[in-house]
Amino acid sequence: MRAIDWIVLAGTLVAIVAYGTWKTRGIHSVETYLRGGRDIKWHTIGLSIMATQASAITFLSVPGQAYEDGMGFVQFYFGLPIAMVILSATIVPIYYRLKVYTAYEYLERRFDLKTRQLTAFLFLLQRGLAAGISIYAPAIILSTVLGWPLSLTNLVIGILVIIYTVSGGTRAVNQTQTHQMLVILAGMALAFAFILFQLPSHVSFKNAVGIAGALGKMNVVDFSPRLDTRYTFWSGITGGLFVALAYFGTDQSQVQRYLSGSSLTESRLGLLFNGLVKVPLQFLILFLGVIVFVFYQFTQPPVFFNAAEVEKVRHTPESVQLQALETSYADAFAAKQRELDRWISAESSGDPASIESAKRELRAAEGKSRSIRDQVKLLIAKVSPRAELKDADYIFISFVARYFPPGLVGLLIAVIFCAAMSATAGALNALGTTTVVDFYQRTLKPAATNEHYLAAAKLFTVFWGVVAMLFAAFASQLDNLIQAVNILGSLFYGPMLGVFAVGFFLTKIRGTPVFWAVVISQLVVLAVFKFSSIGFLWYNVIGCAAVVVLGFAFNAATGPSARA
Amino acid sequence: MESDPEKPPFFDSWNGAYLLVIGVLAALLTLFAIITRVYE
Repeated sequence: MRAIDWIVLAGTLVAIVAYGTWKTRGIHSVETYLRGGRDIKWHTIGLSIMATQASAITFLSVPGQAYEDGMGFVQFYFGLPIAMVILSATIVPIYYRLKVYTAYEYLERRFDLKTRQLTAFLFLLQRGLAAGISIYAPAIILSTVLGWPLSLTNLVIGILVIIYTVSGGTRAVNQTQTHQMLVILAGMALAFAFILFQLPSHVSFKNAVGIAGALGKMNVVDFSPRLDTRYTFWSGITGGLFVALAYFGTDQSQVQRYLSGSSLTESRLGLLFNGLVKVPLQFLILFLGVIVFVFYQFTQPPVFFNAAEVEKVRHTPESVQLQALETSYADAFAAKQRELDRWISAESSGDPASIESAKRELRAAEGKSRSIRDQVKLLIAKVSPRAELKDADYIFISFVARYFPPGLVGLLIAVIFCAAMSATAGALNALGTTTVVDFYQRTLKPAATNEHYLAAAKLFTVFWGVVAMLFAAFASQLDNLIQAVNILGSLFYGPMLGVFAVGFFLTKIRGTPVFWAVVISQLVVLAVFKFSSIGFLWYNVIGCAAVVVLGFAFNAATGPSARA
Repeated sequence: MESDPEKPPFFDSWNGAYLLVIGVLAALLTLFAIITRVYE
């Protein structure tokens, strides 16, 4: 990174954090600290909701995922707009009517204290772990690609977030998330424009999309009904719907965002805004990865995108084999160039037979390159058995570091920091609030002053910030962590959604039966994760359905259906 | 469904706003299906 990049990066981060802290200084009421004063408009809520969901992984992994597997990941979001409508029409008005601070307060009013605290505990467990990963995951990638010290990167992200989250609470989180989201959107738009201009002059936009399509990257929708395929239309519209209902309806890090609205209308509009823009936004982030893929059809890509792992092989006897594979890779790339030129000529001739034949040859040439990449991965695994062989997370950031002009590199790194900070801030804010409201105030210290609870909320937010940073520091000892973040939520969301669904729609089921239904359903989901190959989106459906079915069964088995 | 004393902007009721969100999703799904079909 050059001086201008450091100035852009530091300037962006310091300006956002300083403005957010200054703008929300002097909060003396615990109500304002936890609920943001309830004067926030729909556009701030909408951007804040999006910023909480968009972690750094979104901008590091998603383009890389499109580079490797095409556009199919967008199907994960198909259920989200439907979930926004369902939540706006059902849960949000109930939260407003009950004037709750956390989603879990509702569960005590509907069931009992133990069901409230069990669900709040499941939230603390999964969100606490996820907060650590949302700091660690970008830190490990940035430190590998840019040579930054890992622990320092962890500390910078963690401390910056703790400063404004503790100082200004929910209001500061919303305020900074709005600015962070604007930086993210501007950075991604500039990146998109820049990459398009990097394509060779004889390749039009239509050619670029055609090349991506010929090489199987434009497979946006898959209607096959396979349960073991992770992203299909069906898993997105059902599993994705359940994830979104659970995440936006029962995860306090999101509930807290829209409960800070100045009215029910503002909260609903914020959610619907998210429902309108989320799918096209994800499509564009994925398409960014596809365009990077097309760029690398004309410029030879690295044989493995995590250069640090390749360097390790160079210092071993396997370096001879690596060199041979790199030579084959260069030859395969040159052969693919010839097939690409043939495909472009065939496309302009418009002859279907020539196009089909050129496409077949082009796919064969791409297959050859892929097979050499796979052999390099095997070599890396031989030298470093613990190495992460999935290098998709490194594709976009290594492209940025290598090809982007000075200044834009700093902005794109700022985008990644903003995303990491906004997701972590939303999580810490919610973790602190849930600990105070659902455990400390409810059970440990029920009759203290406003000042006492304000101080407790700040202390618990610091506590969770420190826990997240410690977990981030320890996380380097674990394998496949980045993959874990995608699965972690789905392990807990099904039972969480199930207990809320029973609460809202099955009014005869009582507290104790639903409590045990949640406990057993959670064990069922963990068993499905451990012992089956079912795609993780289905865990949400299984967990939710198990709570409903077991809740019914236990309720029927334990006596008359009086409401608890 | 709970009633809201305030109406959403541009619509007579919340159902109109909900229909817009679902309609945009349906349009996007159609577009994505066409893209997949054209480029497969």
